[in-house]
Amino acid sequence: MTDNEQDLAALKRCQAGDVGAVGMLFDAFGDRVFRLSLNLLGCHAEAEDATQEIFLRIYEKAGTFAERSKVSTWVHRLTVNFCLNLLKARKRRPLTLVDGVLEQRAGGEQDASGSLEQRETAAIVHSLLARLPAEARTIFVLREVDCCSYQDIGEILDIAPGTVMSRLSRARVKFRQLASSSAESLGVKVE
Amino acid sequence: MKNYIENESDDHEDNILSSDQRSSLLAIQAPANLRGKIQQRIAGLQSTVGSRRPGFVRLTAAGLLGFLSFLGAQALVGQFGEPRIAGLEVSNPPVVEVDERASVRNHHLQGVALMSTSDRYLDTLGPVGQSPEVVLATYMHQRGEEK
Repeated sequence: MTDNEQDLAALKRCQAGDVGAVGMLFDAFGDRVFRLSLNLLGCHAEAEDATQEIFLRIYEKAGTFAERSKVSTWVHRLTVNFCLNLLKARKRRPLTLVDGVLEQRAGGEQDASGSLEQRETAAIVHSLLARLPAEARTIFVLREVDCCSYQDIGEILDIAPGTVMSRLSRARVKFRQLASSSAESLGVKVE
Repeated sequence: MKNYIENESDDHEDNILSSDQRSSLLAIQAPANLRGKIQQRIAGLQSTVGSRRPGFVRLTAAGLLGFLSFLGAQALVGQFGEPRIAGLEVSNPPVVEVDERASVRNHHLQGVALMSTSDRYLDTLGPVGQSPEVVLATYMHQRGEEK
């Protein structure tokens, strides 16, 4: 049984009201959903809340999954839509200062994912991502971090692969500009 | 699609995040207690929905009963309400049966008209188009015939 078949079986159990199946889906997608939420929202607490809401939606909408895509693509789409709606509703960007991210981490909200060095590096990248517009940030994260294919990104964002390429190109240019403007202080590689 | 795939393989060379940066982001994991929280919330949601069901049924039944009562009341009003003729509102005064021994004279003095039916006299509390005198004469005439 492939991963997608297992995910599909778990979705069907959710549809039948099996709460335990949500745990299976969380084991498969929990980290990815949380990571994507954190990368898009830039706030640990918001990412945690978003992850809860997204899995509630997965459970509630399990019956609407039409099997036209992989379950993972559907979960990504739910996550991206939820986070973008949240950003739109709050009409603000996530944290924009490295200090802000670091202070938040020092406040004890963070889990102990990765080493201290990794966490600091992640905080620096988050600070740059936070300066990207939401659309550019989304496509950049899906490609650069989650390594999604153009086709998957197209399905997640409901755009053509060609549009994915052009938007990704613009997002990369923007990210490079941001990185170069603060390269020395942030230590981000600029090619 | 092949072109895209070829482009994608080339595209990886354009990645601007270093492997350290990417791995630092990929190292992010969901909080350990999040799984349990989600399952708890869903279980709570289900129990809430379950406990609401009887209340909902009661509410629906009460609402339906109320609606049917309303329809019944409307039907009664339609049956016994004031007659309406082509949009013209006809206002009939209430009719009260008169004790035959009641004084016709009193009715006349009070300006209350009498209206006769085939087998009884009815006292109207409003004008019926006949003067009290006419009504009184009719009454006396009929009484005389009966005797």
